Amino acid sequence: MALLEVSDLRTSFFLRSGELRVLDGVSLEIQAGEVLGLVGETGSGKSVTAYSITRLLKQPGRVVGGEVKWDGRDLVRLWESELEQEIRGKEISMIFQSPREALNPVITVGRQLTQVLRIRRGMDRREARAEAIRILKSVYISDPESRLDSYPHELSGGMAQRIMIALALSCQPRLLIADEPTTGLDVTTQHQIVLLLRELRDRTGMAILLITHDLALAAQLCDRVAVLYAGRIAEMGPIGHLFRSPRHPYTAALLASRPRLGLQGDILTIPGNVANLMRPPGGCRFHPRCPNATQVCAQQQPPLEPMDPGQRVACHNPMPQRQELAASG
Amino acid sequence: MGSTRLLLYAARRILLIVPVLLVALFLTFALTRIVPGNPVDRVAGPYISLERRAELKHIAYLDRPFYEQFALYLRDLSQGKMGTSYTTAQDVSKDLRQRFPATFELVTYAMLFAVAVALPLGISAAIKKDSWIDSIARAVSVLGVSMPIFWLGLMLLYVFFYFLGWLPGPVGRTGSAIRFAEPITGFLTIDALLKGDFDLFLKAVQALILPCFTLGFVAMAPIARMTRAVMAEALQSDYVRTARSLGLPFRVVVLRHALKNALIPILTITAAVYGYALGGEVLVEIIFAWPGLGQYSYNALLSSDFPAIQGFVLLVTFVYMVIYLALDIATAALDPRVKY
Repeated sequence: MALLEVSDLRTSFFLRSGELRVLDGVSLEIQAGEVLGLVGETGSGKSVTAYSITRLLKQPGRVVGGEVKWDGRDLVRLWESELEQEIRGKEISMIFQSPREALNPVITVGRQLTQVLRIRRGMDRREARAEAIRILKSVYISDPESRLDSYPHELSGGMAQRIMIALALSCQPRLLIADEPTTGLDVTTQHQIVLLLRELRDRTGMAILLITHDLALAAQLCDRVAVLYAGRIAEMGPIGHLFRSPRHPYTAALLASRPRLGLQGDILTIPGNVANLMRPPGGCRFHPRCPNATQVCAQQQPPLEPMDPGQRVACHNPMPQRQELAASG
Repeated sequence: MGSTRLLLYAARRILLIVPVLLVALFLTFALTRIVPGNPVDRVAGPYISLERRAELKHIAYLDRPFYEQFALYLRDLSQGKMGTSYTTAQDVSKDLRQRFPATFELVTYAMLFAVAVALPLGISAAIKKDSWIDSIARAVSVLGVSMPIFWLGLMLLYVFFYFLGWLPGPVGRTGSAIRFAEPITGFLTIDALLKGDFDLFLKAVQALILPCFTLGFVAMAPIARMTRAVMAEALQSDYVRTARSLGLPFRVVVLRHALKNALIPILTITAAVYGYALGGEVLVEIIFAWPGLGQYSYNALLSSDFPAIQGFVLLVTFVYMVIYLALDIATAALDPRVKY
């Protein structure tokens, strides 16, 4: 059984000008210990998916339908107090982009950590301090004793993200949701954070939902990838299949628009703009920008169906399977 | 290490009080002398010989040039003398000592009341935007800003004194002419308790209720509005989302994470309102016949009582400076990003 099973999740933002349907039936599952990447353009609903799962959406967002199954319980219908006491932190934790803003600017790193340990794990002051130091060591923070007295503005971006990871790990969750964890960090630091996340997964066996627009990052870290377009899953499957033989035209276009070393000529771009979520196009939301679009695409929403070589794709006119993969099975 | 630096900072700021007081004093001095109107005429009246008039002018140094008057005033001040009031014929410092506690007590209780209501009101309104509590907060803000303070005071007197008869009328601090021989703190409520005079304590409290409510209600409006605004912003911030993502109880998230960040602007506006009220609640004192600084300064201005005006400005400026010093120290202690 999957650790987390999201089915037909619908989230809207209720603005003065109308309802913005940001998630329109997202379904995905995460197995224990796996790293699932959720990729897509800005505004595709990646982060909203994450915050819908833990119900931490900012105003005026609201989950309007679907299920988020965790241990047989539906998080969408749980009481806020149950979510707070039993799920957040202990089962599912999060780390964020811009880690320095994610930490409280007027509370020391040590207090933020020990506060969680004392309230959530019932430790006393001494135990919490010792545990905080141990956790900081486990995310490779040098001189953790003196770091406890630092304030977030005294930390570098990479250091702040390590502290944030330490906070997220403090209650030993089974799933870590990482929302663009390396955005805004320099390349070396990005790499260190990626290595740290991979090591932590191996060491603790927790699953990771990695939200990113960076395909290279997804390739480094993920077992499987789900591609999100305008609030729907376009394609989902093992990373190797998706990267080598994308079947959804959007995945293919996304891969083709990556900057690569040794690239000749211009980077390919996807024509048109991201769908207007106030009045989304009917049928497949990608059809106005899709090279393969036919009449049926504007009328019927394609279901997410298994396709060779082993992924699930929501497309009426998928891309042909790449030959070398088909040959190898 | 941090606390020594904070002490040094406080010392520097305390030294700064002296030049600011000098500037305030100079401006007051200049303004009172520029404004037409001769205090000798007012005090002595029209039926007085020219010789006597000149003598009075001489006693008050008013026959000397402006800069000499200022220098003489500073000389007296350095010896602890603030001059003799033209109207009360007492040393101004004695007048102020008698009146300041009345104002200080009234304004302090009014501010405590205002903060005690505004803080929870603003926080609740920020948590539950567009709910009934938010509507109350908004109503309080609008009423507090737009309602004339004298009208509120008179209405309260009409209802609770004249109509219901529950509270004493506008007769000052105790509701009767009780004189205190030796004030200890100057706060009548506290002095009464210290002396074990429970009857006096009750009278003092009863007399305080209406003026405190009047002043507090007006002071509440900006504090509640600021609290609501900064708390709403803090509650939408990333660090609050982090705290919630870790499963910290909502009470902890609101009070220890959000409020700690929102506290500085709230304290700033509270200090501003407090300082303003200490120097400017003339109307409340006049309505309730409160024997405080407001009345004193009002009378001093009307009768061109130069030493009284100077003394009043000196005292109020000093109190302002002390309040803002306390605020800056609190800010430095609360926010690690503040450099000092």
